[in-house]
Amino acid sequence: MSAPQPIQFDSIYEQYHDMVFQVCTGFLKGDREMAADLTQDVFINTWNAYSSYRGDASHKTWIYRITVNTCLQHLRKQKNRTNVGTEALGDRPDEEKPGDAHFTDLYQAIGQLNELDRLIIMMVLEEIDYPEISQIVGISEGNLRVRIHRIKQKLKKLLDHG
Amino acid sequence: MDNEMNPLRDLWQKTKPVSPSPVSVAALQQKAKAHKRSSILFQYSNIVILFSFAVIIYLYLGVWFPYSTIIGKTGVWLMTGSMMLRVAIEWLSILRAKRIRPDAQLLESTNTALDYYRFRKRIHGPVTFLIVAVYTAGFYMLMPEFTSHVPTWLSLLVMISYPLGAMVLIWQIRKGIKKEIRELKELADLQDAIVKNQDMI
Repeated sequence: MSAPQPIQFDSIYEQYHDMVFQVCTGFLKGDREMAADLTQDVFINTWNAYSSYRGDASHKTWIYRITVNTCLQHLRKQKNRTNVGTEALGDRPDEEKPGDAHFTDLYQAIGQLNELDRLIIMMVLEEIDYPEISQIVGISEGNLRVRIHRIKQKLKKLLDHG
Repeated sequence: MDNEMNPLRDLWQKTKPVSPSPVSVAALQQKAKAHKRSSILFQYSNIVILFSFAVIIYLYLGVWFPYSTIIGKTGVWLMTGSMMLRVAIEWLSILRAKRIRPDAQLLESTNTALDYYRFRKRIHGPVTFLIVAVYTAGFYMLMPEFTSHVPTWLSLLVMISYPLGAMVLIWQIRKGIKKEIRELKELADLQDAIVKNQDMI
């Protein structure tokens, strides 16, 4: 496999902004305002890491790695700041919830997963291939499949009982 | 790709939020540069403060008020040396922090961050307390010579106020340790979550 050609930061930003925002929104249980801020943090980290891009993964995988690391780092920082667990979507005022009922149900269900499972399912929903996700997380594809199967069962249960 | 996921995926694709228009690349780059600057400033400010403090101690106690007895001179060197050791540790700490790459695989970056916080736990714990102990020993070694040059009330005041200052410092250190232990625990939990079931496959 040949190494991906380096491209300009501008095109990376333009190409992957929406994708990163979707993952951040799911990770933050539907909080779009915070997701927009987190998306910015992801691209700030991308800009800072841009010169050290080694070409050992596609740009997409690379951006997802930064997204996953930044999301989890954000959560740790937040927990440290407030010293309490993250808030659930249900705790937010109604006007901040997205209007669509399916949308809310799905976010509420995703929000009940642990942070790592939440990120994995967001990548699955965004149609990232399993080998790519295992590359991003750093676990074997077999382990990933088992994990996704369990997440899916949990989500199904949550959506059915929601 | 797993077909069983299709209904969920379809639901997501139909209802996923529309991304707000992103800030301009120029504005983002400006923010990124400012972020990098403040992060460097934050990292190196500790070193600058500690190094300046070591230099001031040396100039004040070693040059301006030169201690002539062996015990006094040893005290000055212990104080300056312990501060310089702390500077070196902070420097090492920055180098280790740089190993945490935001673009590495999640497991790799979690492991590197864990190594970093384990290192911080060691230096914030036993090493820092040892440094404070050496610094304190150096400080009290100055006292015999110091008392012969200043009024008794002043040397008493200095000797009594030092433990109070040390207590504040130890309280600050403990606060830092608690924060970093929380980070360490979070990372260890994350590492557990990533590698969970790995052996079963």
